[in-house]
Amino acid sequence: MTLADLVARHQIVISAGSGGVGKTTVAASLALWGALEGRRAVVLTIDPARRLATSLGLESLGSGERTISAEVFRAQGLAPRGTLAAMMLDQKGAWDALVERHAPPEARDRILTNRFYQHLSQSFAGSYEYMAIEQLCALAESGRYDLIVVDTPPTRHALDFLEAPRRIADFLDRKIIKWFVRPYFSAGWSALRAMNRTAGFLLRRLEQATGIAALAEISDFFSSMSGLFENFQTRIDRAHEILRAPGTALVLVSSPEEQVLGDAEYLSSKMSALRMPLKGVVLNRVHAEFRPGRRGRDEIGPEELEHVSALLGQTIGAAEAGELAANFVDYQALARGESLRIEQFRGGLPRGVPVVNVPNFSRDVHDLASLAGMHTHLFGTRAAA
Amino acid sequence: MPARLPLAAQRLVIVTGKGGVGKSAVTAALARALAGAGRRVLAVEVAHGGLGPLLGFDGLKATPRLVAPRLQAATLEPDDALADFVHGVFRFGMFARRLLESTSFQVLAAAAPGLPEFLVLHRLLGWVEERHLGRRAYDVVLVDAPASGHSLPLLAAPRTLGTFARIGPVAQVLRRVDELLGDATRTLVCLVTTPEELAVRETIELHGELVGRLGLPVAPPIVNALPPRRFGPDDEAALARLEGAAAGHPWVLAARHQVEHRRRALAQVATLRRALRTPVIRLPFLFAGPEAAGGVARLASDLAAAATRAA
Repeated sequence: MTLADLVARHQIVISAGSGGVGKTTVAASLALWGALEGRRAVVLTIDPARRLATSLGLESLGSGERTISAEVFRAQGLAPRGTLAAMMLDQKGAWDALVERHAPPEARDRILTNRFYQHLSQSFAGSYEYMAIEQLCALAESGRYDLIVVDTPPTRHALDFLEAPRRIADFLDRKIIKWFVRPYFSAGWSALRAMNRTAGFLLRRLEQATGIAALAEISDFFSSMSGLFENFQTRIDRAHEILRAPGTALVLVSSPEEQVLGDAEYLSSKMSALRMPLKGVVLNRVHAEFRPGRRGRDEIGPEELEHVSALLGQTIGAAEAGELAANFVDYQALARGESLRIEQFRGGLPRGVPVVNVPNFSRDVHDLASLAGMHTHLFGTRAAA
Repeated sequence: MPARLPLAAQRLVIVTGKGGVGKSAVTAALARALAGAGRRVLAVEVAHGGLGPLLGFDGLKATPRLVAPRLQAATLEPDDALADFVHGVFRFGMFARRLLESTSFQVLAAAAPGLPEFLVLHRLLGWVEERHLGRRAYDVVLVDAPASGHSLPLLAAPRTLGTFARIGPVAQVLRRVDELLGDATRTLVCLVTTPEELAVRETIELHGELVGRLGLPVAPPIVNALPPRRFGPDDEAALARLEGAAAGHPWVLAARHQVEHRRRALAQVATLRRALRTPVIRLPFLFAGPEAAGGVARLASDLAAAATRAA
């Protein structure tokens, strides 16, 4: 299977990987390919570089989906047969929207002004990831798109994204919520003691001993939110379903640096364990090795140095020629190291997973034309437009 | 004018930056530079595993151990820090164990604003203040902190948790941590970045938060992996001559790559300097990677030079 087949056969493509490997760019390029090939594509991005955001029509957060107009495409020399929309995730806004949608009206303000809610919605581990999935569900259910490409949040362990539904589910475990809610709001500490004598006692001791007076507030949060949890559980089940659906493909994006590739290996093994198998790999910013075919070997011999020095003798001095050779040797060492690591990495992947290399461009990829330029490397060809 | 790394008698040095910019390599290099200057160093990584191999030692543990002369290293797992703390609060081991085993408590601990971060700071403070036989256990505690998205909550924890805990032992520890973090004679926060757009943008934002909102002592940013100058002061002209003479030759293509790479990197350095109005500390791009022999030592010698440079 090629990456082109993979995109053609799936409705949802999730671009996962550690931070700083160009996930966003790859996601945008995949969505653009879909649009050029005639699909109704949308890319959900998290934190695009400013110029990329601008070229996708995303000037500000939380602005909903923006469809890129035909004029914008034409100005870039592109004529898509389908459509391309882009959307940027706004975490805080998404939580607030969720509360407004599901919370009973009388509890709404109490939730929105609760300090614990404000903390949770901004920094609870997994909430960012969960919101990305929430947004993905909304897009999938809207029926407006037949290709949804999702850029995952810039977490060190991209796994957080895939585990978010489970973690939120754990967090919102009904028993736990009752445990927090009932003691304060139904009958105070005595009920808690009756229900769970030891744990309640210990928790109260801890509150006294540490001076952290957050428990009441947390409890208030849960009791205000209790109407929401039923809905949450349904959403979480739905998110699980979508992530594991046959029409969903996880594509791992990595760069060939040692540590990044190590993280990618870990992520790929965890994906299988979570029953969300990896379906494609994009290795971004690869330094291509120069292969001197004529000589059939990679070492730079002194005669080659002489040869090039003679060739360049009239234009540059010997010192510069030496610098040129040293630079080439460094470049080759870098490229060689990368290709060895890539080879080893590919050996550990499940069979039949397409792997493509995208070279380290000498220019930034930030407009639609250069995103289309990546297609040669991702798909081996330009889109038929 | 190259920047100076203002390291004198600091007791706590926190290294942070966007994921993937080489924080661990810079922490390892700083640890070597400081130990090389005669200080007794404890290098700590928070909950991830890249620092050990860069210090030439695989498998760091929660207990510090000597990895080089004057250089000890340890790893700090927030879960262990929680257990330490709860055991400290409850003098009866049984209580502590039951509480730690309860799911509800684990959820509360994970969700309480600033609590996990507080526990990490609590452990770091313990190491900074630790004494053996009447003398400090370590001259300086050097922290390979989480990526900036998680470092900000870490460094803001005294304020976040402070609003929930105004009295009691947690509040006391918070005040001590807050004093330590804010004291420029004892603490320094080092921001590491690569000369790339997203990393530079995140560094500028983080710098604003740390200096503007939290008032922490922050060093001039360290720009890691800057491509070296190769073809004299006028790279572009030299390259144009080369391309005229031997266009398409692999050496010339590699040179073009190098010159473009450096040009883009310098533009990002300029953006960073303009935004922060400060010179920066530059570390070279290492073609074989920091893991290769001599990589960390090379970065360490550059950092040592930046630390001793006249102000």
